[in-house]
Amino acid sequence: MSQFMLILYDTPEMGQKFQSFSPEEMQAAIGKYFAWAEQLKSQGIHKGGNKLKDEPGKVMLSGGKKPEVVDGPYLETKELVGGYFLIEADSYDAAIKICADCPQLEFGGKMEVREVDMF
Amino acid sequence: MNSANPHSGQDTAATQSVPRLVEHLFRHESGRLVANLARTIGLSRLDLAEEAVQDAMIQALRRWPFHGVPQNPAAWLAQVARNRAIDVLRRKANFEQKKEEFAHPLRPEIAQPAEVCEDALADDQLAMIFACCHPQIPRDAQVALTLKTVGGFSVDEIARAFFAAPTAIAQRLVRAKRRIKENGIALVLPDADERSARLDTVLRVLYLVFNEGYTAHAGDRLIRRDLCAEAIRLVSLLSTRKETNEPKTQALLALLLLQASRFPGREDESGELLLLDDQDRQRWDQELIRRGMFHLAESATGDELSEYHLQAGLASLHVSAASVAEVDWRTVLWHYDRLMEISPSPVVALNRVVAISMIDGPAAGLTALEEMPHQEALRDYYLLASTKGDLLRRLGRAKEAASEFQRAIDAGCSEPEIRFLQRRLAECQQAS
Repeated sequence: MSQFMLILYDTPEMGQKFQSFSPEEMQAAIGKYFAWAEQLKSQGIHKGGNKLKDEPGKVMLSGGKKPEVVDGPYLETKELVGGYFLIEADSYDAAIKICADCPQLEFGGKMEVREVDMF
Repeated sequence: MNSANPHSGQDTAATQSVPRLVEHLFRHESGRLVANLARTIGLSRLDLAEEAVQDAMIQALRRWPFHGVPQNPAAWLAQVARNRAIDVLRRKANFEQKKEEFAHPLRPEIAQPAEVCEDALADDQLAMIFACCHPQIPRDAQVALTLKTVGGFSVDEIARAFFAAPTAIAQRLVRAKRRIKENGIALVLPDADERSARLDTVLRVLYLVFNEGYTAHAGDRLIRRDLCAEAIRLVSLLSTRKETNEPKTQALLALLLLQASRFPGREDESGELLLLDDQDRQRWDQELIRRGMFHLAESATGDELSEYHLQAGLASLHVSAASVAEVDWRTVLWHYDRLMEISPSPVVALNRVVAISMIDGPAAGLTALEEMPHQEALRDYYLLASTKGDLLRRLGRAKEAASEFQRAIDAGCSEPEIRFLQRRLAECQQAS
């Protein structure tokens, strides 16, 4: 069993979609995320997750004498990492299958899957 | 970003013992929170209150999937919405003096369990209902504004329920909010001397909300069902507050519950509309009937006989009869006679004709129908033609009946009704 990190990106499209949601639709959307996570938990492959704060955060670069600290992320400011989940799966294929069921994509968000390198 | 985090602890494993979200929690909380916020920052800032609540719900949607539902989701939403409103107001120059007065009472309220401020929330919501149904706001805008602001329905949902364009609903809302500002409508309960008259408008709006959901129009069925539930919820709220619990409130509540009791059984498996005759009375919701009857009894005080008393009385006659034949049609007729005195309408007149036909036969019904006033004005009204068609059908005059059913179809009505009329038309064409 390998571990994978599912990184959830919030896109502008997703933001717009949420803005137009009614309270009822928002509750339904939360319910979908819960149902998805519930499914993973019942299989014992949900290994945690966290929301990251909606701040740009800091990017540190090696400067001259001391590291340079700037507000980041500065590459793709339009897409923000909303949070991440840690799951267990046999392979990338299996991990991707799990991601496909996550409502993040249905709402126009993006996901990145990275295998944890365990030695 | 405001740093106050009402989430109880940084407990990422909280998802293991999450309280489940109560059904429609967001929709209901949305109305309560908007009312509560608008009470604090002023009804003229209704837009800001709505935005802040919308924002809080988006925050929940973005955070709860990771954290799980907080211990007190309503308080969480309230806190985030307030923080959001404070953030926006803080950026405004003249906010500084106001900040103190409204930032302070927030904390203790939030720290308390929800029950403590339950009363205050209900008061705010009551005031909001009265504001949305203010006589200075046009009727169609009152309905839309009540659904949006009190009921937590979105523009799209209202549009779907009313089979209208979202832009049309949005315009109504803009008009209504402009009226609020122009007329300086405040978020307060009307004074005792004008409360009863203002309550009439409120009850009428909630009655319209229910009817919009109840009548078999086109439009989204699920949303329409929700309209009915929302109307019942709000009339229930009115009935639990001493300021608004009048006999007519009880009567309206009885009426809505009794009507809603017939939801199951009103359609067959394929969603086709069933006439009262053909409905399976076993499927009617007995619990709603029991509650409806209870409130009907509660409404029988004082000397006011409102339209709702009469309509609830009619509904009770129907739900308590074992079959259509066993309905006490004479008492039904008495109710329609009274209704014709209080609030005459083509629908009431036609129902009266039906009652007459059930007592004295279809021929008498036909005579009564032909004697109905304002025939000309009703000529293109489908219910007139379909009622006439039905009386003719019962008299065995199939050919004439068929042409009336055709006329009813041509006059235009909802899809399920058209299908029903077409079935009747085919029967009559076969018989003639």
